[in-house]
Amino acid sequence: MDDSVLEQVAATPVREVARRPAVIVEATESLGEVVRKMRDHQRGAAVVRDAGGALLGIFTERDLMLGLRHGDTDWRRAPVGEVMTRNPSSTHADESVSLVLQRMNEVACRHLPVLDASGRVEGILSIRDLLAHLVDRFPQEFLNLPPDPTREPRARWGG
Amino acid sequence: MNDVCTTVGDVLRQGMPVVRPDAPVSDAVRVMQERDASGVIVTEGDRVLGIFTERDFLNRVAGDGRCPGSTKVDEVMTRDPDVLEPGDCVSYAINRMGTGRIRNVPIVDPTGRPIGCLHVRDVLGHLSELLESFAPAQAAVADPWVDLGGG
Repeated sequence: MDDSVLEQVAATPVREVARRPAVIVEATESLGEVVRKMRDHQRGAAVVRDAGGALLGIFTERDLMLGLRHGDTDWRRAPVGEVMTRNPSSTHADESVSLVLQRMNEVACRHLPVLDASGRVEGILSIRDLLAHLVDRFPQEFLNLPPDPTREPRARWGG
Repeated sequence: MNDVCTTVGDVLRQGMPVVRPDAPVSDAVRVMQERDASGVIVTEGDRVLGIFTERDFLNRVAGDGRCPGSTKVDEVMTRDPDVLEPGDCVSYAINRMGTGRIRNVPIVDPTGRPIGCLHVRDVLGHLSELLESFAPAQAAVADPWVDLGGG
């Protein structure tokens, strides 16, 4: 693989990485509604912001799985602000892909809220967005793999 | 690696998160928590029956109003997932994880016996190391949540 291309990818700013539409909610929104939005939009996280757009927290599918008493159906009525991760790590449009990957690795997260120049939430960057970007930049390495019938998916891959 | 021909075995972590198909979802959740994993392989003997992930919990358990304690894993797992072997190039996994909705892949030996599960975080760690050597000299943008002091 071409080192100069790797260097370019490493230096790519977040603003150039295509991101899928984010689920952005307010702290008073119910968990039931937040979970519905995450499911409908197939996103693994929802960013929580205040009325002015400032970042308050993040709620992920892992928080959903580990942080709630699912035997108690009342959990759906609780506001997401009660269970979100407050003050999460974030990124900005100018940060490089390499820095963002390091941060995700260090804090063990798959989603980072993206803030604009004034610190307001403008979206979410996920590890899937970053991997899709790499696949797009290295088509020969990722999309044109040698054909191998034993490696071609017979059904849905993994999960 | 100088490249993506690193194998799955090079980035695969030790240990394998597994549950039986008739186990309650709450057991699968406990395994994912104990192993810090985002998915578990569902096995019967030496056979991979399926995989159950955090996304399945969102879509098919919490999202469907099911109770984790009374729902069996085989009711909500992804059946018959395709798998990879340790000697396979990790780029296959990166491709699927980047272009699809897959973040966990069961890893099997040549006989099909499960030996591990590749999670997207394993790939993340590998890519972070790869690109770190090419990182530009750049200070992190100031985190607005950090008190920079001063008056």
